[in-house]
Amino acid sequence: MSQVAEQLSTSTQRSQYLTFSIGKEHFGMELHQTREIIEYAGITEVPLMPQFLSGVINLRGEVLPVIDLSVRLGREPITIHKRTCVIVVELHGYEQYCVLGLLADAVNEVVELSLSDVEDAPAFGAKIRAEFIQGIAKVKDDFVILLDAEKTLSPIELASLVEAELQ
Amino acid sequence: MSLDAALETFYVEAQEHLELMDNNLLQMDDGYINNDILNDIFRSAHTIKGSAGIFGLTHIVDFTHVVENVLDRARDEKIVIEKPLIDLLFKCRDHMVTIVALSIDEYKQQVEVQKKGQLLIEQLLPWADKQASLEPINENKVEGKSSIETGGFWHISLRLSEDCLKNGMDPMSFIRFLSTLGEIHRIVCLTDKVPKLVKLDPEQLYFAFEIALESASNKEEIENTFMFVQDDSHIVILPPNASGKDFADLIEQLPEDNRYLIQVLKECGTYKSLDEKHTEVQDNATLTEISTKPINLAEKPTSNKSIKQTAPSKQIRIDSDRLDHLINLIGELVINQQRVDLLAGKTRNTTLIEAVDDFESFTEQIRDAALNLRMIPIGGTFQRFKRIVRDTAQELGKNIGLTIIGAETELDRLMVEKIADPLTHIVRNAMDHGIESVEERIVSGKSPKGELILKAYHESGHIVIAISDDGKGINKEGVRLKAIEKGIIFQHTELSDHELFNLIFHPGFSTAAQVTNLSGRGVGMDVVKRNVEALQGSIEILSEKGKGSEFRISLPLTLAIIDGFHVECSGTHFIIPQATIIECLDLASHVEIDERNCINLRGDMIPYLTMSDVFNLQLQNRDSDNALVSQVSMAKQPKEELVIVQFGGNLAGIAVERLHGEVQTVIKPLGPIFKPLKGIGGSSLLGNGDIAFILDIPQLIELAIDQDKRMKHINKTQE
Repeated sequence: MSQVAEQLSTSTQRSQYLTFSIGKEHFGMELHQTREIIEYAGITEVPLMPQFLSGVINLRGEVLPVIDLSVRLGREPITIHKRTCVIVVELHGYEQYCVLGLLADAVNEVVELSLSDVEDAPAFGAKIRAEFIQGIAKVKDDFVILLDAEKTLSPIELASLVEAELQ
Repeated sequence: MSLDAALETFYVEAQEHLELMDNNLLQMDDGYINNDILNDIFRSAHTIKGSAGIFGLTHIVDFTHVVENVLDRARDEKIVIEKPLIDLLFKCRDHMVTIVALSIDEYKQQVEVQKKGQLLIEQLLPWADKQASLEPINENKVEGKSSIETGGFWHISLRLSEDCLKNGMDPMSFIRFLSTLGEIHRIVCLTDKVPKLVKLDPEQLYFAFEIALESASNKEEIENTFMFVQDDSHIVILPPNASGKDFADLIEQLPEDNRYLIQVLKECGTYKSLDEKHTEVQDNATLTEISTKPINLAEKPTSNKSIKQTAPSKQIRIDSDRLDHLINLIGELVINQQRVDLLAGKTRNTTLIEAVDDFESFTEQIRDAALNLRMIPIGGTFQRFKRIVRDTAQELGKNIGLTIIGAETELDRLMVEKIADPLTHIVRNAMDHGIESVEERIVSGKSPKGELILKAYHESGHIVIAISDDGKGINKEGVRLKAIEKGIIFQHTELSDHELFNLIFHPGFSTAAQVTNLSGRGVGMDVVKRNVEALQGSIEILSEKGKGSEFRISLPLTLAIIDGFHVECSGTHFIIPQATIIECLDLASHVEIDERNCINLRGDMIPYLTMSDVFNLQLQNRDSDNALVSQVSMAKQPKEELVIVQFGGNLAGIAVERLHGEVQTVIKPLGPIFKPLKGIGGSSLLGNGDIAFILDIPQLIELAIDQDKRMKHINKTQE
C-alpha cells in the first residue's frame, strides 16, 4: 500500500488534492498544505541562488521564497507567461513551520480522491526522485503525480542545496 | 488580586530581594561594611521570610529565619562580620535562591536540598542567637509558662481594614504566620460588626481579632507580621508585661463597647484591669501603635545605587509578547507610512506632502519610543559578573578584581538575555587562561591583583561590550601550533594577528594545556561567536603579549527596525545599515591606485568591492536584450557611486550604481532556506512594495575576500 493509501484508509477515506500543471505534466498536492493561489506579478531575484530558487515575493508584507518546482524536479526552468501563478504552500513539517511559493503554469481543480484512485509510485520512469512522490492518481484521462510537499520542499534540504551552490 | 497573582508577585519580589542581597553582600565583601548595607540585607531576608509566611511556604520561612537571626545580631553588633561569615552568607543566599524556586511539595522531595539547608543552618549556628533559633521555629513554642519573662503572652489587637480581603490579604495568613513566631494561646474573634445577610458584602472583612500570643520574639518581629497591612489597619501590640493602664488605654482607643471589650479581653486571658494592683506601672512597657509609627527599617533612604533597580513604584510589568506585538504593528505602520510618502510625492500637492512629512516625523518618534520600551540597561547583567568573578577567582586561587564601566548603557531586552551566556564564557576564559596566578604576576612585575574590566558603550550606532584583562595576552605561537596540530591551518599558512586570533573561534580549538573545570574544553568559543552572530553582532580580539587581551563584542542597537540607506545595483535593491556608513562619494572622481580596487581617500588607501561583481548581478539579469545593452554601456561608462562603510575599526568602500537615500528599514527575516547566503542579513519592503536586501557588511566583506582568494587561486593554477 502506498503512503497515500495508508493515509486514506486510516483517516477519512477521502482526501482533497489541488491539481496544477507545469508544462505538460500534472501534479497534485494535499489541499490542506496549500494556503492560496496568487497571480504571478514579478519576482525579486536573490543574488547567487541556485536555479530552483526563483526569488522572493512580497505577499501582503510577508517576504516569501518562491521555488521553481520544475527545476527542483529535474526539468527545464519554467517559462513565465500571462497565466503563470504562484501557489502558496504552508509546511508544518517535522522540521519547522515554513511558507513558500511554487511557480505553476496553471492551477486546475480540487479533486477528492479515495483509496482506489491512487496507485503506488512507479519504481522508475517518472524521472522524479521516488521519495518526492506519494502516489499517482488517474483523474479523468490524465495521470496526476501526487507530491509529498514536506519532502520535496524540505527547508533543510533546500538550504543545503543553496549552500552547495555557494561553495 | 488573586492568590496566584499575589504568589507571582512574591516570586518576582523575592528574586529582586535576592539579587539585592547578592549586591550588598558583594559590597561587604569589598570591605564596605556599614549599617545601611546590613540593614538592607536584613530587610531583604526579612521581607522574603515575611511574605513566604503569608503564603505558608514554611520551608523558606524556616531557613530564612535562621539567616535573619544572624543578620539581626550582626546589625546589633553582637557579632562581627568577617570573611568566613560573608562566604557563608553568600552560600545561604544561593540556597535561598534554590528554595524560593521550589514549592513545598517539590522541596520535600529534594532530599539533597534539604540536607544542604540543614548543613548551612548548622554552620550558621555559631553566629546565631542560641535561644531564638537553634530549633526550627515551629517548635520554639515549647518554652512553657515559666518563660513568661522572655516570652509570655503578648496581646495583639487586630482591626484590619475592611478592604483587606479585596486587597488579596487573608487575615488567616497573618494568624498562621503568628503561629510560626510562637504559640497562639487564644484568639477571640469579634463578630459584632457582621451585618444582616442581605447587607453582607462577601468581599468585606467584618471581623476583628484579639489574640494572646506566647512567643519569645521581640515586638518588632511581631509588628513585621503585619507590614503589608499596617497602613490602613489599626493594630496594637502589648508586651507580656503590659500594665493595666495599657489595657485601659487600649480599650479607650478601640471602637467597640467598653464592657464588651473587657469581656473579650478577659476571655483572651491577657487582660489586667486597672484595679489589679500592679505597682510597677512602668513607662518602659509602652504601647506601640504601628499605624502611626513607621517601621524604621522600611523606608530608610539609602545611598546604595542598586536600590534604584528595584524601586517598584515607577515600573510596570508587561508581558513581553504584547510588547513584541506592538513593535510588529509599528513595523507595519512604518512600511505604510513610506507608501503614503511615495504616493503623496507623486501628487505634487505641497500641502499634502508637508502633512505627510509631519506624519513621518511622528512615525519615527513612535518607532523610537516603542523600541525604547524594549531597552534595558546592561547593568543588571554586569552585576551578576561580580559574583561570578568572585567565585571563579576563589576557585582558581587567583586574586582578581572586576571593574564595571557603562552599566547604564541600554540594550534590547532580547539581546541582554542572549548575551549573558557568551559573556560568561569569555569572562571565565579570561580569568582562567588570561590572568596569571599571583606568583606569576609578581614575577613579571605586575600587581598581584589581576584586573578584569567589563565595559559597555555606544560606537557609531552599535553597542560595544568589551571584556579586557591585564593578563598574559594570547600566546600567538601557541595558537599557531595548536591550529596546525588540529589541522585547521597548514604549516606554512601566513596569518595576520587578526586572522590568528580568529582561530580561537574555530570549533574544537583550545590552547589550554590543561583542561580545567571552568573553561578549556574547547567547546565554547565557537559557540560564543555563533551566538554573537545570531544577534547580528560581531566579535573581535585584541591582544598584546604580557599586557592582556580584549574581547570586543559589537551589537546592533535593536533587532527589529533599523535606519538604512537604500542603494541599487543592476535593478536589485539593497539596504546598507545606516550605522555602518561613514560617507558616500563619486567613484570616478577618486583616482584608483593601479588596478587593485583601491581608492585614495584623503591619503588613506581604502579597498572597495563592486557589489554587482560580488553578487554576480549582471549575469542574472534575465531580460537578455537589455542585459547585453546595459553591460556594454556599463563597460564604457563606469559611473558608480561609492559608499564608505566602517566595520570593526576598518574602512572599506562598496561600489553601487545608484544611491536612493535614507529609509527606515523594517527587518523581515529571509527564512531558513537562505541561511547559507552570506552578505545578506535579511530583507525589507520598500515604500512601493519592492523587496530590498539588507546587507550584512562584515559578512559581505568576508565574502568579497573569499572570492578574491578563489580568483587568485584559479589564476595561479591556470598559470
